[in-house]
Amino acid sequence: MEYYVIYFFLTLALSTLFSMGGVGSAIGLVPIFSMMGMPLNLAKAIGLFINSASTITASIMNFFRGVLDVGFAIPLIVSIMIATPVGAWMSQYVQKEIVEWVLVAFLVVSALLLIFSNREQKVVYDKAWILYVIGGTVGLISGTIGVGGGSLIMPLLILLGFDAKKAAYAISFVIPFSTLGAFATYLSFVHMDWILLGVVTVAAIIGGYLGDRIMHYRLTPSQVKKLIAVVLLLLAAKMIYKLIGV
Amino acid sequence: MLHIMKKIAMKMLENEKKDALDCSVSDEVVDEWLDTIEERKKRMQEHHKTDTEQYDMLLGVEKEVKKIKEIRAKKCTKPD
Repeated sequence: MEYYVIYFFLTLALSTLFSMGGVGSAIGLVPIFSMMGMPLNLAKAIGLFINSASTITASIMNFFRGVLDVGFAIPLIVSIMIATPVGAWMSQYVQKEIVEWVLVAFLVVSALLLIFSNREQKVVYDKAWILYVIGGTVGLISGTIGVGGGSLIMPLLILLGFDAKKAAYAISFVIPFSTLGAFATYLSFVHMDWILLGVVTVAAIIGGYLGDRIMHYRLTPSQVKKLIAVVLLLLAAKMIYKLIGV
Repeated sequence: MLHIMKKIAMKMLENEKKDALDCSVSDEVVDEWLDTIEERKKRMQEHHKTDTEQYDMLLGVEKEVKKIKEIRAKKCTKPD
């Protein structure tokens, strides 16, 4: 019982925090679950499902607020849906450490660019082909390491000139399409703890709701940008700590 | 289906008014909300989707947010 309570509150806290930045919490929860003794593939599968639950909640709210542009997200959805299951399948063969170091480098560069870039967001580069490329690349990486991909797409969209909040709204909508496909793939070779999955899913839905409300009413776009940068740096630090085995 | 969604959207906005009418919430948040709706409207106009129920829903949401902005302007303006 205590075991489930711990996972519930851990998921609630991180889902709330990450939903404020419009990204799923798997990238934080997967390493933590793994460090708590959960088998890595089970942690990745649960992390992927948690991402789906919290981002679906946020997307429903954004749709009814009129701020979700479904049309813009289509190229990302199509490419990510194809690439993520391929990445999940590849995870059985690719050396995990290599992918994780690539991710660490990406997280650090993105965070620094978000903090130090003073670019005026007057021009938005939103050609469909670049969105397909971003979706495909992120799908492969996120499927392989078992994260939703939001924290990878977010800095890319902001660097392309998208407003941080608008990027967050679109990404919340895209993530379930990537994570549910990869989750199904993991289920084929992971022994699932269904009670635990139910408990953390409820926590993720509540966290998604709370985080979305906080982001919408309490944070300005520049605050969201800074928050995301800090979260990315914390994640990179956590991954480096794990990778060098200190 | 979208008719039902429009009703849900209005119901949800009613519940969210409490947050939006809180004067500690920055004006920028509501302005940015209206900007996003405006952009979506333009996008739908460009794609000739103005006769859809989704566009109607968007107009309904915009009307409600403008109302929120008006109420905030009266309620949250500090006297000199």
